[in-house]
Amino acid sequence: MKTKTTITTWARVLVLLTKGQSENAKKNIILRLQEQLKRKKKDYLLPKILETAEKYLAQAEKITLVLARETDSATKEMLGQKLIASLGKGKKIESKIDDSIIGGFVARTEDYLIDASVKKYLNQLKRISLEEI
Amino acid sequence: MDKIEQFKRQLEEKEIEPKMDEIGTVIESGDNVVKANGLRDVENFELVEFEGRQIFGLALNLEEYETGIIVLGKGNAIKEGDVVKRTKRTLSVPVGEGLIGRVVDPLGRPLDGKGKIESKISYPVERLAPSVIERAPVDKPLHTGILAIDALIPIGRGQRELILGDRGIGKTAIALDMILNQKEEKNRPVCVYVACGQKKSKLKRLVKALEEKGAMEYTIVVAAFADDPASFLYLAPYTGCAIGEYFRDNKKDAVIVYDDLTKQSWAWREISLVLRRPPGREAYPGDIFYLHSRLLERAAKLSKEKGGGSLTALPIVETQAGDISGYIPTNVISITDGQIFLDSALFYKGQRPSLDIGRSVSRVGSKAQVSGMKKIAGTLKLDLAQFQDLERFSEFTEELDPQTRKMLERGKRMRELLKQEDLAPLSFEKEIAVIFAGTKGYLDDLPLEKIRQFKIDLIEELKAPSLEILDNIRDKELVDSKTEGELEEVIKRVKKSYGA
Amino acid sequence: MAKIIQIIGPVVDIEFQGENMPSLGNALEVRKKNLILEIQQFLGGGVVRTLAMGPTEGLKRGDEATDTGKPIMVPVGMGSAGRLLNVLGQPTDEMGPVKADQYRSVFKDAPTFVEEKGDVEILETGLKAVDLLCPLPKGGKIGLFGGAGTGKTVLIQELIRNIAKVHKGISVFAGVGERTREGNDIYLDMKDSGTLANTVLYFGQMDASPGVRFRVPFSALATAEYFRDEEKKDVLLFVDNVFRFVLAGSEVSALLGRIPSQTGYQPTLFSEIGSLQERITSNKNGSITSIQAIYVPADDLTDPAIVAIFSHLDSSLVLSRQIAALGIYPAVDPLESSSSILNPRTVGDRHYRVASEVVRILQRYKELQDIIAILGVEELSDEDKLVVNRARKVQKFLSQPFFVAEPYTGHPGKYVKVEETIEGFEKIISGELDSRREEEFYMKGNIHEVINA
Repeated sequence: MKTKTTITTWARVLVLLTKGQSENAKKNIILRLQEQLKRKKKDYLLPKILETAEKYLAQAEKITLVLARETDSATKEMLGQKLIASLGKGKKIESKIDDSIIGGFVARTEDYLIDASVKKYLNQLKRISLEEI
Repeated sequence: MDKIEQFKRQLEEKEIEPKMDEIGTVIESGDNVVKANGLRDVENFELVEFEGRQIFGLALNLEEYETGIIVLGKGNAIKEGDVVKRTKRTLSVPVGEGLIGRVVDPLGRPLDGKGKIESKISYPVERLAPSVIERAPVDKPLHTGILAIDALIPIGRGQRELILGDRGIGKTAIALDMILNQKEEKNRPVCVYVACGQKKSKLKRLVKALEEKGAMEYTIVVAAFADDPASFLYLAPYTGCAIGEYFRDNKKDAVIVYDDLTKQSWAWREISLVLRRPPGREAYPGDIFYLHSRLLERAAKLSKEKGGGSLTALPIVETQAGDISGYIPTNVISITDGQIFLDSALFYKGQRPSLDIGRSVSRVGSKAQVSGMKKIAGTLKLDLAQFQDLERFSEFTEELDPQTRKMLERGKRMRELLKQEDLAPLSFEKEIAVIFAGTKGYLDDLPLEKIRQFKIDLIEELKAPSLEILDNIRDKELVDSKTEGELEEVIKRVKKSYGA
Repeated sequence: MAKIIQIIGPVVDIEFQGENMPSLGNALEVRKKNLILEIQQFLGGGVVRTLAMGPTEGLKRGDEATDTGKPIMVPVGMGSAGRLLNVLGQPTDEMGPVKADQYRSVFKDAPTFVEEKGDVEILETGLKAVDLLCPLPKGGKIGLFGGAGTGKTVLIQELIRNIAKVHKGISVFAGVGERTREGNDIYLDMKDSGTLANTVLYFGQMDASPGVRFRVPFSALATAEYFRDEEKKDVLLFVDNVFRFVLAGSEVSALLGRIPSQTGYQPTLFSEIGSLQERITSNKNGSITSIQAIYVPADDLTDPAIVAIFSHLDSSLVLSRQIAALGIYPAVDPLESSSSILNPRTVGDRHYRVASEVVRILQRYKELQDIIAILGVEELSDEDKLVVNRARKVQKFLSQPFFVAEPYTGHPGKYVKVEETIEGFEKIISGELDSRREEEFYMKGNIHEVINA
């Protein structure tokens, strides 16, 4: 448990410190981290820390787009542009196919969720109908 | 065809638009407490929803990188990676007249299968109590219909009176009788019964009793069952309080029963320990007093400027082996304006209700009694205390002077007179008539075993349509000289049938 | 500009960007919620840990807070007399703003050793049990200890009536974590009796968040100190209830990151109590005489908080549930109560002699209880029988009808002067009244009511 906390905390620190830094500066920061860890005899954790930091960065930078089935690239492109515009520039789109959403799409980042799927629409209809009865 | 048109139109009016939800992701979950990251702009005490699971949560710990959420439902299905959405609403419940006659859960959702709850307003579940300046002294009575209480430990509207005792000796019965008694009361208050940690079967029987006696016309039930998550038991009293406050704030009177606060304490202890807040005395968290104090302070009598409404609270706390020096009992005693203490020994000896008069008190006292009751029962509490002391003392004495003997006989009869069965509350005018017979000495020459029947017969006689005695007492709230004479007549008449 | 980064209950962490860190104890304001946060600790990295002086529902991470540059400041001076104030010194009686001469911080150093006043005299309370067995020193501190329902608040109300009414200085009342209903009763009562004009009322009752209950005694204290030091007045300070102040501290202690100590209390228990109590004192400028009610949790007099508070008081009155159950009010336990001025030098030989003898026979009676229970009074020696006889009379004579309790007891209240109290008990222990029945001594004022009955 404690090791996990150490890893996640250092990973977060790394992400914060390396934000907007040049490649050289990033390298230096990682080296300093390695020294700090060596001093505490914890340098074996470095790979795991880096891996976790990568995961955080990736999460922060991506928009997951879920579609019910394959669509033509033009539609996907347009959808992607609109999402990047509203959910944050500089992010990358990662597409997935999941037919359980029936139709429409679901777009998700670390902080936001837009659920425009047919499944959600149908669920809402169901809930409202039950209330009316 | 008509119905379908209606339906279609209603559906069209509803907007179903996808919107952008602010979310977080579950990283830890267990014991109905969840840690999520994200939810950056969530507010303290905001309601959040677990996507796709139809379960809500309460954001309680807003840490620097994570949010601590207690699950308002069964959390076993929630797993790492699940999405949690903001609702942008602080925890609040629907309130208003539409709640009357319904049974709801701590989130205000119906449990009785009678359809949607009609309500236009919501009240936040956590709310500040009325301040010093917004209050007025308690001055109107809340009649429980239980002779011993209304005469000796009178409760007023806006007071908090604790019901204390070991399990199974009649605490809930007192609350139930009180609710049933309100049916015929003038300025009938709305009753709210909060079942906290009860078995479903017990509540079912209670609601049935309320329905059969017509009490659901003015009662609301809030239920958190024994198998509900701790968060429900923690919230249920606050939900009930918010529901009662609506009436208090709108110039009406309301009474709320918390059955019981011991179970709420256990639930809060569980949640606090899972949130890793350090334990104190009996492993309760440091703020266990505050849990109850902020709840019970919301029961109050409001000043005229604020509408003059009131919320009376009857919290129930269970003692262990009659120990009123326990941590939770003393905490709540120091918050309420008095306590009704039920004693196991008296219960098993057959004295019902098993009130321990010496250890029960009402700090608001006679200020809240109708003048008729105050006149005849004024010194009754002290007299009975003296009698009990005398009874114990004279146990070992053979020779008793006539004065002492008279006191003992009178005391025994008064004690017998104050006994009462469950589910048989007496309206205050009947109470006054019965106590009148006792304190004026009319029962002194009746054999002790006949007192119980005498009480029943006297009340039957007084109910005769040709007599106006009860109506008189009810209207004037006292026994005037004319009524006194008539009452004496009836008492003598009933006594004759006993050969006295 | 600073931002909230963490909220756990009443404890809020704030991060300051840039250089100017505020000082410990400063008040930060979250304007959008009209909430004050008081700085308790520095956590490093520009982060301060604060205690909210109000509810934190609806706050979120990212909300802005501004440093007011000072601690909580309360209005002081005669302009605050007759007003109902909250922990921040704001009026809650709907009578407009407070006309303050000045504002004072709630924090202040206690008077130094040199500044402390040495000599004492007795302050008459009119209550037999108090004046005889635990006399209150003028400028000193008396604690009223009792579990739930033993009569502390009624006792404090009676003392307010007896002392505050005739007191020519100013009174400050601090309602700390007690019932709001009682606050309303006290306010209306003082209004009716005219005492309100010379009293400043502070309330942070049991519905308030822990920060408020923790800080409100200090707000009241700042006012009392101002009157003592600047206006050179004799101040009466009533606190109901000091235990709630300690409890509030324990509620926030864990959230402030401290490891809990005995019975779950805060490790800083002693220093917190000390920081409050050492300021409630008299110096060469003037006096603060304080009467403090102290709730005893679970009737446990060995509770660490209770033990800690005892050492700060000059006079301790302990109320007992067993004695209350006998119908004896005030339910003072004569063998647990004490006063540091009960010595011949301060109260005089006669008072000391009578008080000592009263305590002696009550102690002896207590020791004989077991024998009496098993063998009965008849089996005692003649000398012991006399002790029992007088002890029971003394017990009953210690009871007294209160003015404020008239609506409940039906007995009109009585005020008894110290000389009359001493005279009364002297007569009982001398044997002069041995022939009287003990019931005659119950709920009476001075001894002449018994003699002339």
